[in-house]
Amino acid sequence: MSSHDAFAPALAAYVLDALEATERRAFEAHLATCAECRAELVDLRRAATALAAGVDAVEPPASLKAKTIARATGPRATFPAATGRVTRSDAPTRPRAVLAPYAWLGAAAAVVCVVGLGAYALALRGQVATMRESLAEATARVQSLRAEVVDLRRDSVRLNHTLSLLNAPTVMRVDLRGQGTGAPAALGRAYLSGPQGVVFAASGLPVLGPDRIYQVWVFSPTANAPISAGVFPVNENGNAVFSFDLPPGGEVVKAVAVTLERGPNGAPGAAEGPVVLLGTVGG
Amino acid sequence: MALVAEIAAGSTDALARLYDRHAGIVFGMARRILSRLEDAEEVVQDVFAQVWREAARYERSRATVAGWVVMLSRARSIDRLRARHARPDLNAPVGDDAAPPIASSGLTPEELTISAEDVRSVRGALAELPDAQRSLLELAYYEGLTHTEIADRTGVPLGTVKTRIRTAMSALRGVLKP
Repeated sequence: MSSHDAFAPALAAYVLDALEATERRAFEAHLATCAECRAELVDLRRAATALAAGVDAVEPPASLKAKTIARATGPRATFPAATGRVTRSDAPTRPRAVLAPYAWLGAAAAVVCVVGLGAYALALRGQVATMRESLAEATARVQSLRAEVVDLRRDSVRLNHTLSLLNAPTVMRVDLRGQGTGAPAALGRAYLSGPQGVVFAASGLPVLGPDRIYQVWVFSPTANAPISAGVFPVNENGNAVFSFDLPPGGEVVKAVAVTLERGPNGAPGAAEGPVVLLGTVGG
Repeated sequence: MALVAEIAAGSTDALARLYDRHAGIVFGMARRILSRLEDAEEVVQDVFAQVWREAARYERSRATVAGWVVMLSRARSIDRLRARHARPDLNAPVGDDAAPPIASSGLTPEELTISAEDVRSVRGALAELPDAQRSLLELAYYEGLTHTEIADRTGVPLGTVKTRIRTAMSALRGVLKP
């Protein structure tokens, strides 16, 4: 099959602007090299023009005429038309002798023209500035939408992770109870699966000030001290749900505890604050 | 002096006469494509502003005015329709032109030159097309849909959409006088 045969079927869609952007670019590249397609294109476009001209006329509202003429010929639009005239009147040459006595007139006209051009350039600059603003707004909007999509994707990954963890055959549940006077009514539950981490939920915890944070610790039979597994805030109802990976050395867990620590990063080594939740595997 | 030449020379009166002659079809095309009355009125204003700006260039090409004006009407209407329906493509780099541009305003004089007889013949041929072809052609022509979008919208397989549109356009082309 020749290249023409491959592209000819796209001609009609091209004429109707119905090709996708990538198809259109490929077709236009072919068009530049194919006289047969170009000839056929002319015929198809004539058909498209005739199709357009066959549309039923509809009487526009009477008020539209004045508005249309005013806008078309208004200050913004007249300049390009004026340029056309200037270009054409460049060509005819008049005898220099006739022109010379009136040369100052030309100079004056040139000054007027330059002033006009200056004003036009200013107006144009204003329009460009407005368009830039709109573009910046649109770009900002797209960026914020993109950020939303990234967040949603992250949420969805998190959700998938949680689901796969909860469905893992090796998952273990640890129930945690409130400790001491700080949060006697608090409850927590952790689902642990060594390779996939932990899903943790807590409720009834005291709401924290800005300088405090809760910290989760896991107790492993092979380690002699609790290992920090991360920090978490609670919402305005004292609830929290989150997931985290088990820290190195803490893949096997015999107990989970939550302490109240200084924010925002919690205790760097061993726990410093009071234990508010505690639970043991099988306990 | 031809109307377009007068417009090119800056005659507001000539533009008004061109409006009287063609505003009906411009507005008709805009209304066919755009459901909102205000949008269609904007298109009329856009089209005549473009005629005013480009009359000098156009005059030299010696194409027929009606074809030019009505193709401008379709192009500006589809532009407006697509702008209204545009959704940001989140995967596209910012500034990429995802929507194909409407090529109609760049047509050659030959492509824009049609006779009243051509218009009648094409109208007749359109009426005689099988519904399945005409409806798909109209989705492309009056709604500015790409053939992929037509396939999505109608549930007709993409290959069939392409074939029907091609067959329909060939039928319309077939009735034109050479």
